[in-house]
Amino acid sequence: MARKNFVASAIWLLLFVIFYIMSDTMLKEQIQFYPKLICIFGAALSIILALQTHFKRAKSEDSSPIWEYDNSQTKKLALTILLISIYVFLIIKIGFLITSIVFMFALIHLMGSEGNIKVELAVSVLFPSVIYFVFVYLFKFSLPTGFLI
Amino acid sequence: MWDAILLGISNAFSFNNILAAFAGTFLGIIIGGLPGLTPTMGMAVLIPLTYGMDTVWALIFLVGIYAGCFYGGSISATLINTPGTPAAAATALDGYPMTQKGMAYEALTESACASFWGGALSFIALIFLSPALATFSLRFGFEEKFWMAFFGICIIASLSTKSMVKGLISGTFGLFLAVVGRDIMYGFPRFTFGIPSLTGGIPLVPALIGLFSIPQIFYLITNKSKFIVDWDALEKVKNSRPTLKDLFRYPIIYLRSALIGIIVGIIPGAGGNVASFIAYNQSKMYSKNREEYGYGCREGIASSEAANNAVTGGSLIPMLTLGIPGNAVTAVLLSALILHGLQPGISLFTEHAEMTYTFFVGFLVANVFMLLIGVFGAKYFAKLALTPTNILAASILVLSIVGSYAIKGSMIDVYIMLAFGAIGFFLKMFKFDTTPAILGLILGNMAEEGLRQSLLFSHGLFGFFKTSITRPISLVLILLTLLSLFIPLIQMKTSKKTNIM
Repeated sequence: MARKNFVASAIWLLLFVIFYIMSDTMLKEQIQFYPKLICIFGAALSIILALQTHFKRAKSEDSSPIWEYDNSQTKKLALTILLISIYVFLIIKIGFLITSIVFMFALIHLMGSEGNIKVELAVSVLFPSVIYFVFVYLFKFSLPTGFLI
Repeated sequence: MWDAILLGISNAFSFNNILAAFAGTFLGIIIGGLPGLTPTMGMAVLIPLTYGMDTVWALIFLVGIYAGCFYGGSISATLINTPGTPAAAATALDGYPMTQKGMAYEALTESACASFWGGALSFIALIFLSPALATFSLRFGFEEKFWMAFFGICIIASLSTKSMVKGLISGTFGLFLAVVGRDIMYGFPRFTFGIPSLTGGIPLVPALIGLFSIPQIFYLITNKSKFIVDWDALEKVKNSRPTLKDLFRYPIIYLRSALIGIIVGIIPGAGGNVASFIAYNQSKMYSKNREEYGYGCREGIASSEAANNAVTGGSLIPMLTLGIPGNAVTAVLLSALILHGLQPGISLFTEHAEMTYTFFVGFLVANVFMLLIGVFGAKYFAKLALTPTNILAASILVLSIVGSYAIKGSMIDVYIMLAFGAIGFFLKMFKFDTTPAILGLILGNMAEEGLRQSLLFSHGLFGFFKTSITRPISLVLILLTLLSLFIPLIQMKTSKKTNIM
């Protein structure tokens, strides 16, 4: 945990410093005080986290890695992120319903099929269809439409 | 007040409100019964369903989900020894041993009855304490507003997370995110980068959906859990019938545990899990059968379930009156309240009194549905735990995209949701709780307005602190804030002593 905390406190400190500089350069003078105050508070807490971790480290074993996922989990995460990116890109080109059906089936199937492919297909078709019906016809909301629905 | 309550009763029994209470409770039990889905995430992704609803209908629907989730968690805790929600952890201590003894039906019925009493008694507290606290909030000036918001974040940071410093960093990050949008005093844009969607601040619902659903989707995809269901026990459940005696079996335990749940619920930061363990220990202390606790004791289930469901009503009190959500679920509920154009505080009990009391009575109706669904339908919900995690993850993702898009019909909100999903994932990876961040985002404006307005009158930070300690309410809030920051230190000392002993 100690390694994780050191990395986290460094990232937070960097972020709050960046936020402070952004507040200083991007905002008008009258409105800088409050965001800067938050940044100072956040930066101080980040340093406290690092110090606290340093003093506690001697007492605890530091064994947990920063990235806790094994290879297969990492691959699944990467694949999910890729599928989400494609889904969000295509949803405005093709439309919500068709893209969601394809996306759901792809995600369910590629993540390691657990059951019957017919069930997976049925869920992939029915779930987006019900959502589409509820939002578009029942609540009168518009969902992304492309050249299809 | 009585007129408004009577009006609330008559309104709550309209077809739409009854339907909302039933649908919310039903969905809540499903979410609670699915290990891996949290009530907060469930409510965040289901908020979009309320966009097209009337405000009261929407609130009753959401509070039904809230109550249903807390009960639903006990089903999987009892049948497969996996609490569907953290609040049901104490229930598993006796629920699962009862299932092993072939008494799953008794355990499930007790969960439903005790949960009903917890919810019903917290309804009484909600009805009588809320208006009083809302009237009291009228005495709040700018200093009090700031300290109230600051206290809310500090206590959530110290009670709901393992590391107080990490909780505070997460809360501070939330406060900074709340800065995005137009300046509350001068109207200048702050960090909007020319994106029109950001001028009103970071849209709360997409942020909530992203923070709570995306990390959960990743969790479901990377951690596949296989649950074992005892089909023989389920078969026995199917063949059993409830009696009226089940409802009144342990009146003292219901009352005592519900009181604990209400008090814990009112305190921001402590949640259903804290309440159920306190009530469980109290019940064990006063019981004649204390040696049976942990080995399948029905009283144990009664105490933990009455307490964790009483938290639902209790936690609504500070949220509705002071705008301080006591936990992540009420933070989501507060954002729904704001989304539907309402502000917490006295106005809910004056100009919107009819709606508020309809909502309260709807909460009670939801608890009645929870009892009925629990007693007659728990056996059907038990199979939910077998739902493949891939299907859950894909469904949540589609719902998250739709929910973020539908509110404004804008893809920008979808991108904001995904960005918050990434933030939530990294926060979780480094063991930071997301609740203080969302609380910071919600309470940010209240804290900023309180601080900046009082600074105008007190001429600087020193003057602000001086004024704060001379005003009784803000002094009490400062002391409570300090106390909340010292609680973890006290806990640390106590656990060290216990370890030594």
